[in-house]
Amino acid sequence: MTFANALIALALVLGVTGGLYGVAHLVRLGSTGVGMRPFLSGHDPAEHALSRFHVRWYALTMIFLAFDMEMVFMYPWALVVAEKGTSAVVEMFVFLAILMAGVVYAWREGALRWT
Amino acid sequence: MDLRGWLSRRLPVRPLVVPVPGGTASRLAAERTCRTRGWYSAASPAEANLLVVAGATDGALEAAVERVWQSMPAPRARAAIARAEHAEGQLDAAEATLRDTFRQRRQATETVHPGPEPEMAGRGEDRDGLMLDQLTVPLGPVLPEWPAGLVLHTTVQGDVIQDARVELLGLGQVSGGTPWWPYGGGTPRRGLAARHLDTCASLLTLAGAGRAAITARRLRDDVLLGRPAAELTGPLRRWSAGVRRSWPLRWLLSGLGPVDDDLAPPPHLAGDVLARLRRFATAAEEALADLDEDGALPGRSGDESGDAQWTIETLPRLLAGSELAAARLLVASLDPDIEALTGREVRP
Repeated sequence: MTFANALIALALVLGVTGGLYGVAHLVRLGSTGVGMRPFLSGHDPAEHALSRFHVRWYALTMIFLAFDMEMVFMYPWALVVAEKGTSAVVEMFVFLAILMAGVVYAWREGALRWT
Repeated sequence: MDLRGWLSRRLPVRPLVVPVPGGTASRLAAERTCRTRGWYSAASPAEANLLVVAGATDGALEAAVERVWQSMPAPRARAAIARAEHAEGQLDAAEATLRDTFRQRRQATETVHPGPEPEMAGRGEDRDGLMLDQLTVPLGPVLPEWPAGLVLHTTVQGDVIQDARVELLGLGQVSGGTPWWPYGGGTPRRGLAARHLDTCASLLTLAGAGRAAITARRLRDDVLLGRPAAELTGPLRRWSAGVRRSWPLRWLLSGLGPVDDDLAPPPHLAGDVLARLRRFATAAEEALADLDEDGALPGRSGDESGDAQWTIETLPRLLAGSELAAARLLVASLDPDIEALTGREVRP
């Protein structure tokens, strides 16, 4: 029964997708334009649209991840810390200390210096 | 079942009007025709299906128009309006082309051949000393609500303009004289009121006040077509009061694009964008109040070429450090009449 449902869903998806492509084919005037440039008031772009970011943002991202991981692990830890007792508290704070060492290192290297 | 033909007949026309120096009369005629037919202007080539070139183009201006035409998707049509009196006929013909499925299918098969991929952007320190990509973003000549023939080559880091250079295109074609100066199309005061309304309409469109902008355009066309002042005074006063009282416009435009007094601006261009908008709205009302009097003209110095010269000389300084979004509002609020510069020696 589940298998039949999956088949119906598949047929529906294919039908709708094919229908949309069919309508697009019926009403379009020509093939899809390729090689279009962005609109720059009638000028050609002088530079590639891809922008490079300053390397400092990558260091900042790593610091964010350090804090983010802390939170991710602390949510389940908060549920079980009462029954696990002291060992859980010690383990978590050792983990936090390792992460904080990374943050302090990045800080010392100037990742948080803005100007 | 001719599905394409059925859709073509119901296609809304979205014109992109390209202003050209020397073509102000054509532009006014084209805009009036588009407005009376209920065609909403497009904000970009991707949105447009009708390219309207108001005036004669040559050289770099022609190349810019051609590039924009290449980037417009089918269905599309173009109208070159060299003379104001041809506007209706040319737009009729263009609309017929737009709704002709056979011709649209034939031209849609033309392919665009892009050149090589451009280089990566160069880098430089921004005002905070950060190394950031420097992008070259040209503004004009083909840009909605932009003065005819003006090109601003800006260097942008993030969305902040670091540097701007002015270039003027298409002045070789202009024989001198502009419909605004000496305010042609009836009495000087009518021309002046229309010029103020034209400036306000551009500014209001960019600020997103579409209804007020359409009203300004309708009033402008009525003023130029010689509708009696007695019939115009009421609607103009209501519009002007609405613009001056509008809270959204106040929030949006106050403090934007300030012109300091030490730049020695012409008196009507001093202050911020909001001050200029209110000043022009008031001046349009005053100009119409006593149409037949000759005295001083309200709201303009009367020296259009001097004002335009001041504007193009000062624009780079005004734009440095401003946001890209503010640049168009600033230029629209200064609205230099580039055509008036033809008789002058000094240009950028």
